[in-house]
Amino acid sequence: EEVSCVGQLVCAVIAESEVQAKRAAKRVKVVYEDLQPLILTIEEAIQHSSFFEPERKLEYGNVDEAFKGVDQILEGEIHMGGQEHFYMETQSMLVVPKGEDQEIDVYVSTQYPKYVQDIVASTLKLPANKVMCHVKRVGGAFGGKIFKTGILAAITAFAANKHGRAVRCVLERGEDMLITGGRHPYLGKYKAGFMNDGRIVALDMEHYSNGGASLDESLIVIEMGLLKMENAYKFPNLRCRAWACKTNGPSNTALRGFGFPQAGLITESCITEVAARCGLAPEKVRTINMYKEIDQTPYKQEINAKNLIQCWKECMAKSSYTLRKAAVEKFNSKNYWKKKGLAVVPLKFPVGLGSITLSQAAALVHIYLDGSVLVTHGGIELGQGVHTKMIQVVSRELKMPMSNIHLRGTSTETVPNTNSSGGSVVADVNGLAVKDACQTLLKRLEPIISKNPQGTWKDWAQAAFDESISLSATGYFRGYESDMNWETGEGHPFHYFVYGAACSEVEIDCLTGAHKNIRTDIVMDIGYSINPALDIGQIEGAFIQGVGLYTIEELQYSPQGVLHTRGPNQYKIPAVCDIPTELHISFLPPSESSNTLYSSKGLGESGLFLGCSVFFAIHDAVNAARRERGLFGPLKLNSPLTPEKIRMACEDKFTKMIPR
Amino acid sequence: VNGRKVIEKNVDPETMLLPYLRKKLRLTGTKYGCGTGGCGACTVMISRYTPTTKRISHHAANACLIPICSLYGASVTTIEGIGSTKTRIHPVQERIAKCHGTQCGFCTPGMVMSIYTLLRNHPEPSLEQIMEALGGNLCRCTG
Repeated sequence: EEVSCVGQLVCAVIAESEVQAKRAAKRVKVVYEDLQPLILTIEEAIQHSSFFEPERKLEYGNVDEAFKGVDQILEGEIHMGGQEHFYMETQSMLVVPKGEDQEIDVYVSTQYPKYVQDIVASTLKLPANKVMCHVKRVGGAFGGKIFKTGILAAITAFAANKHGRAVRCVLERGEDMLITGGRHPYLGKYKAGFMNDGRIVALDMEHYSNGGASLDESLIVIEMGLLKMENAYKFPNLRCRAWACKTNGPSNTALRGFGFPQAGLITESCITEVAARCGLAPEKVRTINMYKEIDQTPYKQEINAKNLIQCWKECMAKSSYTLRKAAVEKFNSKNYWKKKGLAVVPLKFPVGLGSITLSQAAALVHIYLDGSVLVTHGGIELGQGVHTKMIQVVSRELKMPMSNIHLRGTSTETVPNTNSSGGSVVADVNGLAVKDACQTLLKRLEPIISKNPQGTWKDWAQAAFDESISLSATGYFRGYESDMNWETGEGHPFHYFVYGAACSEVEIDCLTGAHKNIRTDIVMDIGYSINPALDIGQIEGAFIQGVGLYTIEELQYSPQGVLHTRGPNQYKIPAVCDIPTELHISFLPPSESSNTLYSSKGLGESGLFLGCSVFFAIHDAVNAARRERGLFGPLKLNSPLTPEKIRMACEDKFTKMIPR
Repeated sequence: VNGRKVIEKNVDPETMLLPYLRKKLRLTGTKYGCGTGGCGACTVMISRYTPTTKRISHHAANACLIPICSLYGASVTTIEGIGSTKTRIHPVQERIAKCHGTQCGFCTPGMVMSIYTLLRNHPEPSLEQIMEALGGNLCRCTG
């Protein structure tokens, strides 16, 4: 009866072929009656007080008192556009009704097979044990294949069930971009009270996110944004409030980073403005406000920032920051129409899902009588290499070569009741479950192995079978303790922090607004890495996705809320030409052990925020251009910092010629 | 296609190469990423013989935009045609896998075909030629 956004699913058409389905869909006529008010932007939502309740708040110290004792106060705001997941494989699923006992197989590209199982079972009024959801691998997900996929699967399953035939549903790219939401656009307002040496003593912030037409994960996103907003800095007095706005756009959902890339950018933007006001270099203001060794976060969790400071120092050293800054300034003094910029940004990414339930995981390990092993677990292979890491775990625990171990895929039939694969914890929690299963097996087989220590796994398996000892075990990990009390604003929501720093150099063309990424140096503290190649891949991929988010990916909507950018020709994700000509990634030597899987750290999301080092490098370059043209004063740049924005910010006699 | 003669009579002129490869010939290595020629996941190599110059030319193309009616007398090489784990993998495939150039793997067949075509035309390409060849292949996982 009521449609709340363009792209909302209204009906489905099933046909024998794609062409037929499209023709049939064109014949569906829907008559609309416009309802008021139409709320599309965050500003309109604020005007109409259209929010998903409740508002969330984080407070530390006494902000109002602290504002009285500062040297200067500044106020500002920054807009951040959303982001489309643009997984290379669009939403795809195949539902096959088995015809017997109402069994139904769902093959789907999803991060959350349990949810698909539940929603299909509920739609078809079946118990969950008749719905089997299988995922062999996913062609990229980044958070976009959790909830919407379930809805599409339910619709496909309904069609399959109704006709007793297999039904396939694959979205075209344009439809996928329109129907599925993306990252929450943000509006950040800040009021900072600071001393003349750059120390920020009081910070009052407001975060508004555009949640779209339905709740989805919008509340959790702003909560995580709040908890991670201070990034690497200690603000002695802080108040930050966050609201998820309800608008008439497609419902926005999880996307790698989950609120932190947005909240972090707002904070960094504030710091850059404070630095400009004090006449200090941004990196000095960043250093002076950073966490010092043992400290406390705004929600009173203990933090040891030793590795953060080390990452920061090493990044500055490895990138030869001081030398390159001088080189950049020299270049800028010699070039009027081209400017270079340099920026270094620290990172503290807290890893944790907020409750012990959300980080539980399970696994299943079979040893066959020929000594070969089949393993499966609750995590989904999205391209992050989790299955490779799990095979590594089995190899290490059972002391057998990786070639002897096979992992076929994930299914609700083999490992039930699993959490969605996301939050940078998949390899960690599932690995602990796999480790548990292997250790159970080793304990059972200990008498067999000790009788024949020189034997092969084939010998031991056969001997176990002869003595009626089970060669199959489930593994379980109960999850990490995690709590956050939003009433008191205190808790211990995060299990550990991933630290890092990135230094980026760019060159902008003041006449076209185009920019080139010249060099980026990233240093990260990742604990003990289980597979450095996979970890570097994750950091590189996340970093480039961040560069896309902050500089080239822009979603465009019509005033009526229709998405204009519906394909790679309009929505630009980074390509080979956007990779920095020099990209160096290095890790700190591992220093402390923890109770994660082999003391490793989950890296799926942390690298994305480092893309803002490119944002601030462009900011630096634009500032250089403006200073040369005699334009002083605060520079307000919103994200994404597209060529249009860069060009118009480098004001000159040409920009004055057009009407504004 | 991949060395085998394919004859199709009474074909629908709107049929593009990509669905034909995937559904009719069951060669599912070539992927659908956008359908509009912007992402390169559907890259294949098209080879044609020019009788006047007596030479065969090879170029990479987006299968989602090529009507099969335009391929009279042409040769199509897909990812399955240059190597597979069933027969023997091609050095380009091997290198990409071993150098960790693939994560979810969806864009990889297109990348491999672009690189393969580049190497067929320029056995020792310069950095500019490589950037030019791969500029049309998007990858969300590795960047």
